[in-house]
Amino acid sequence: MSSTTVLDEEFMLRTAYPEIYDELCDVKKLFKLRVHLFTFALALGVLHNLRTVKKPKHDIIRLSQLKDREGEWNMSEQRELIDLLVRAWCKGSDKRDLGSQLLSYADGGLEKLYREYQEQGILDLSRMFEEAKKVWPGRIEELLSGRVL
Amino acid sequence: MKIKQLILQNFRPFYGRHTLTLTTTEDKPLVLIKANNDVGKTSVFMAIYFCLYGRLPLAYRGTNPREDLARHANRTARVKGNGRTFVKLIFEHKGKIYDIIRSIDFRKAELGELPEIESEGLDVYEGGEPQHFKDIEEYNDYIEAILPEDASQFFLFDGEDIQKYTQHPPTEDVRHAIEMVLGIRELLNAREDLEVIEQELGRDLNNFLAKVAQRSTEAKAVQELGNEIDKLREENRQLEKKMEELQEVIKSCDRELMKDMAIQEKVNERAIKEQEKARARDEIAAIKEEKRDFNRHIGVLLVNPLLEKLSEMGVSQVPDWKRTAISALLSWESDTCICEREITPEIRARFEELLDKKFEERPVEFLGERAVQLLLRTEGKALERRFYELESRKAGLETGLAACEDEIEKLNKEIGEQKDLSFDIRAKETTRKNAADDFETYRRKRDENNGIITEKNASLERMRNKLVDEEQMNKDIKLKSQHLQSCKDCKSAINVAIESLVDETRKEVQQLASDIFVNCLTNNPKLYRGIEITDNFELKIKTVAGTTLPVWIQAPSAGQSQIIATSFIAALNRYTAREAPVVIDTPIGRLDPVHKNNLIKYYPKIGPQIVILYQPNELTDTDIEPIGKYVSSEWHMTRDPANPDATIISKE
Repeated sequence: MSSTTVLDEEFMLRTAYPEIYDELCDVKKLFKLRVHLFTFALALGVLHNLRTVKKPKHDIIRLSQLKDREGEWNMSEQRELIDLLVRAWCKGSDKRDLGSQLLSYADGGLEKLYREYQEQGILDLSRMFEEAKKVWPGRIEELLSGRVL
Repeated sequence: MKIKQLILQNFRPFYGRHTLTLTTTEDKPLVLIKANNDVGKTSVFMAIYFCLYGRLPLAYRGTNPREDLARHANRTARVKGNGRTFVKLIFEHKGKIYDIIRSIDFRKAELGELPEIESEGLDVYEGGEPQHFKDIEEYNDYIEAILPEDASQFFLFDGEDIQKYTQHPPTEDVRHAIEMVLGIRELLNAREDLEVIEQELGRDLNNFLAKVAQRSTEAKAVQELGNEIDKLREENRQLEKKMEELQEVIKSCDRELMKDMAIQEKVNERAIKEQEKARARDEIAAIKEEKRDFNRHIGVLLVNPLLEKLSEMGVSQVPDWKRTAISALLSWESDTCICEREITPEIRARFEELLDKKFEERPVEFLGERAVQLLLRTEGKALERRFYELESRKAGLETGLAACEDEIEKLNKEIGEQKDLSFDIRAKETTRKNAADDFETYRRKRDENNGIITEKNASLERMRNKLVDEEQMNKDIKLKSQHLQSCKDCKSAINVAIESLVDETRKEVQQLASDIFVNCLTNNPKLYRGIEITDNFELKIKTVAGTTLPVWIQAPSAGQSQIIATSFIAALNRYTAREAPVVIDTPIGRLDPVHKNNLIKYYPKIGPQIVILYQPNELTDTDIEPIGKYVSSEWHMTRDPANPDATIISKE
């Protein structure tokens, strides 16, 4: 795995909505780890180009902790995805700023996710995937046309 | 009865056919038949008797009746060849003419020998109509009604033979004859018949009583059998009552069991659904957990279209095989290659260098390579399949769970809070089984009892039938008892009648005989006062001197006895209501002239028809002259000069 990441190893993943993490991870037990929800929310925020203005104050996990471990704690996948999405959609060279954009996308996606969750009573992933299949081509086009990269 | 004609053919001395017309009139009642001794007077007497009764008078009977018959065949006729003897008597009785014909077919016999009798015949005509008798007894009854054989001795008699009536004591047959003539015999016969009947009734009654005694045991047995059947029937009634109760229990159990089992079925169904629900929940929980675990990839899955697109763009920078191999090695968590060569940090750095393109220089390639690595790591397409599989399973389980919950809700509405009834059902099933077992036991016992009842009923029926017969027998006993009593009563009445009749008739006959004897026949009316007839029909002489002595003491001479006997017979004839001819053989016998004279004068008074068979020495023309005006006809029998064994009859 490449050690060349765009963010600092000690970058802390944060959120402005810890209660949503509490509910969906601890209460509803939809995710085993908060970072799983984080990466999903990030992907969703990137997909729909959603960024929040809220300041993320609550820690989730450090990037350095996202590595493969024994058993189920296999988190390299999360880190690679975060790295790829940061490189693709976060602009600038300042790592801190990149991190901020990252968190902004993540909470932006989280807001949409939670809104829909509240509206529908469930986390309708199927619908989200179907929607993603429709939205991604446009977003990829944007990415490849240089507007992002 | 008055004789009209006597026809003789080959009978004793009468060879060939001879006819004696014996008709008399009221004013001429006498018929005189004269013949010397051994010419045929007694044969005429025998012919009349034989014709009426089929045999000879007692005094003339031999020891062998067949020989008596054979002797009737005329000696000349039987020597000449096979032939027939017959006697035909024609008489009038109560306004009707009777013809009685006795015949004997005989075979030829040697002189001095009796012929063999081939057959004998009897033909009777009443008013010209032939009479048929099924047997000789029937004929005997027929002729007895006209002139009883016993009584005939007072109408057909030998004058020399009547002294027997003066014997002491009179013989049984004489006494019977007297009783017969006087009408007492009939009563005595009735009494004897009643005695026979009484004996028979008594015997029957005893037999019946014996049977009743025997059957009283059977009656008791019938009663006991009836009681046994009643007891069994009562037992069956009790059994059936119990069976009805048990049936109610069984029905009640069935109803409750049906109800409980229907509920239990739903309870069970609900339990199953609860289990299914729990299982579905568990599975949903499991799949949720699985999904939760799966959701670590969900971010990658969401960006899968991006990764695929980037990977397409990134592969052009490095050959696929090389990229794949290097990526695999770099993602390999071991420090040893598959060729067992150690992947040192230097080697790893070199590999990374090969892949690690500068993002700033070629971002698309860079991201493409990273996307390839991610796709390799996560197998993106497989993730998508896995995701939908989990979704599908979860949806299926949730549908199943919802269905379960619907079913449970529906069942809850139906059975409410009903709990498991298995224990109650088992308890009721036990109750029902016990009731059914008891029912079966009672039913078998009842059926067994019914079988016994049927058998006992059949026995009872048979015994009852016997008892019904016994009831009939009891009726018979009652009837027999009544008959027996009636018989005894009749006998008592007859005894009274006999005593009364005997006394009356005895006195009447005694008076008549005394009158005849004193006024007509005795040669010494001044000496005798009359004749006394004892209860036993013994004749005694009452003298003027006041003595009453038996005839054989008072008048031992044969002549005197004959006169007394004649008086007695005449009295009997007068007394009796029977109209019968008097045929007297040897009328005078040893009588002295005075007695003889008296007797001759008295003959016309004896009855309506008197046939006198006499020999010339008994009655001379002078003797007959005083009664000549009473004679209807006179016949003379003489030997045939040409045949000493044949008698010729001629009318004078």
